[in-house]
Amino acid sequence: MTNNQSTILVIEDEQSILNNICTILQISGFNSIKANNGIDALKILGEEKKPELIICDVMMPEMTGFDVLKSVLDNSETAHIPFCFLSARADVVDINYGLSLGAKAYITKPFLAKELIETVTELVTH
Amino acid sequence: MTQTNINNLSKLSYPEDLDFILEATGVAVLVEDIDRNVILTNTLFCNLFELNQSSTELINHPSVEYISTISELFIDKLQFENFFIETPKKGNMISNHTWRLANGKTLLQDYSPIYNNNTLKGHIWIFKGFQNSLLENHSNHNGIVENALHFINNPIAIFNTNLQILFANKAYVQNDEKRLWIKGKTLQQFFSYENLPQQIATARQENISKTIILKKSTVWYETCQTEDACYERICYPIFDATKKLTSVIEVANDISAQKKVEKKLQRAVEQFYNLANSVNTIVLQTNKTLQVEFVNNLWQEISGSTNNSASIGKSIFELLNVTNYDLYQKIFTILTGAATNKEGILALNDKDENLKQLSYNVQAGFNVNEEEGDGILLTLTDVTDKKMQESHLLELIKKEKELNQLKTAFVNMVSHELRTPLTVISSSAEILELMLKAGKNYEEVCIYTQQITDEVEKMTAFMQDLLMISKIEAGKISINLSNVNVVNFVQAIVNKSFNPWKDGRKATVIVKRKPENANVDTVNLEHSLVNILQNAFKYSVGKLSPIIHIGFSKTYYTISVIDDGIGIPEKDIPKLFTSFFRASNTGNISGTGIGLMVAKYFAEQHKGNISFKTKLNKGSIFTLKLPY
Repeated sequence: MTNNQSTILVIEDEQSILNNICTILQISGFNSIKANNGIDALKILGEEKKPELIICDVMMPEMTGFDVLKSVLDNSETAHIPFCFLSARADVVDINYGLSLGAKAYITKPFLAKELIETVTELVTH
Repeated sequence: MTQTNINNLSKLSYPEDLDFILEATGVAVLVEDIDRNVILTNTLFCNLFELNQSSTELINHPSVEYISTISELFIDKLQFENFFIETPKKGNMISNHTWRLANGKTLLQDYSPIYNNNTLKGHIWIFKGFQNSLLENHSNHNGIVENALHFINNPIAIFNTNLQILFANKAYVQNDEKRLWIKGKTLQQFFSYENLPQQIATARQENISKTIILKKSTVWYETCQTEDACYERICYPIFDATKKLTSVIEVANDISAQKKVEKKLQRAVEQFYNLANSVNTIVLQTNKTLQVEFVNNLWQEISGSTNNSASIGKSIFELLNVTNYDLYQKIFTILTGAATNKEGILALNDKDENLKQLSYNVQAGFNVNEEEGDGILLTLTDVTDKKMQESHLLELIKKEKELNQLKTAFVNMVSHELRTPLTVISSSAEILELMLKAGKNYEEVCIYTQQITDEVEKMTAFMQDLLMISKIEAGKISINLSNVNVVNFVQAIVNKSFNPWKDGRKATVIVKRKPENANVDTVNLEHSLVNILQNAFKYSVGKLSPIIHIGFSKTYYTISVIDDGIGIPEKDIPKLFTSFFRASNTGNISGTGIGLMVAKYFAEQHKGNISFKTKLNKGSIFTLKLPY
């Protein structure tokens, strides 16, 4: 794997999905950091070492994925990190909204591992 | 002697007010007794012959005393003196004897002996035909006035107190001969002569008599229906220097055109009232002091009053029995001319004490009677039904909107509730494949097969919930009761799924009083309790663990689930047990909106109920109260 040095922050409130995403990333040679919600994710992003990519759910308690993206973009230290939504909200309105906020990709659930890895690879390489 | 002669004269049936006649005739008059002493004369006579005395100063003096002065005017003085002395001796009436005067003009002279019972009583001399000639240099006011009266288009007549006509102008009687003839006649005589309706003459005479009796002017309207003409006849009393009423002047004004306009106006008003009575709107008209002048029949239906006339004269606010500042203000703006038209809504009770919604329009009124002043015209339309329909329609639209929102929320919910387990299943399957390819052992892959099984179970449960809803709505749910220990039953459910929950918190079960057995449909009660507990955990993430209180009383037992969660907004409370409804503060917390509806249904199936207490951002307590 070419990008096995890349670290990806995965934000997902459904524990099984969070685990599976991270397992798939790991099998594909990526490092991953888990966050159960937006607040935890922002704390992780506050640390010195920044991830190369953020994969985030939309429907989460306390803070939605959209809110997380806004906070990431508001912070000059994190604004450069590519952001990818991974959500069960598959309506075109939601997809367009997510992309308009500044996300680089929007993957709908259920997803295929191949699709996820291709997107991740592309985002971390560019 | 003279006195006797005057008395004699008065017996000649001369009008009482002889002086006035003499003054008003327009001719110079000299009346002598049988001895040729002056009994009566007029100012015109004195002026004509340039006598230096007034007409009254001449009385009782022999006429011959003035003959030399009088004859000065004539070219042939002797002829005149001879004529004046000799004519009475002959006793023949003379008319229009023409004299040439010294100034080159002419004068006509009449002579008439006065008889009573065939006895000569005196002489009358009349000098005439000089209006435009002889009196040029004399101030003969009567003549000027008479002439002036002839030029006036209004019919004018002068009557003495015996109702005899002393004078009528050309407008009154056009024909010159008739006009001369009419003098001394009554109106009845005149009308009889002219073959005119006697009742008109009588009515006019009554009016003149009224002026004589009241000694003040009177007005009377004379309508001639055949000619569609109308006259306003005004009688003015005339007084002499001693303030004695001597005569009455009657002046007629042709007011036919004005009357026509008034008639048309009256018809327009009547038409307006007829129209007002035929419309389905209350129409109220007031005067400037806002007293009701007209209200149409519809008012009776609303107010229950049996007589509209009882409403007339009342203040508009008294009639409507309302204190409405808005209406006050709008009426005021109309009265002051600040606005021409104002609208609004007014509420008042009808005769049956039903609250009516009335849409009103207030505008400047119109009053035929100017003294009353233009008030306001208020129309009131009953819009109660319309408003109710509107409200009903709005309610329907609101429900439709809510239904649409519910539908959208349901579709989103189903999509999410299916996509989430499918994601786990799909990703687990792919991981499994990768792991198996990599030669991983059973223990390592087991976690993913278990995940697939769990998610399939969740999906199945969700599908069952959906089916349950349709069964509940179709009334196709039956219950199978079995006797269980309530505490053990609840504890088993808690241990199975909530000890711990996925975030690590554990539910605490607290039992009050001695545990009892109860007949329950274990499947349904478990379903209800799981739903309530899941909510308690789901909506209190980061807070204390939910607590379960189990209480037993004589006839029923309660299971209460207490959480420190987000609570339920007040506006959402009425819809909380509606299928697919989710409180507005649930945000991104996933849920189906089915659980509470199902819990309520099962509680009721068990002849029990579900109740709750909640405080926004503080928490909720849901209690199942069930019989044994």
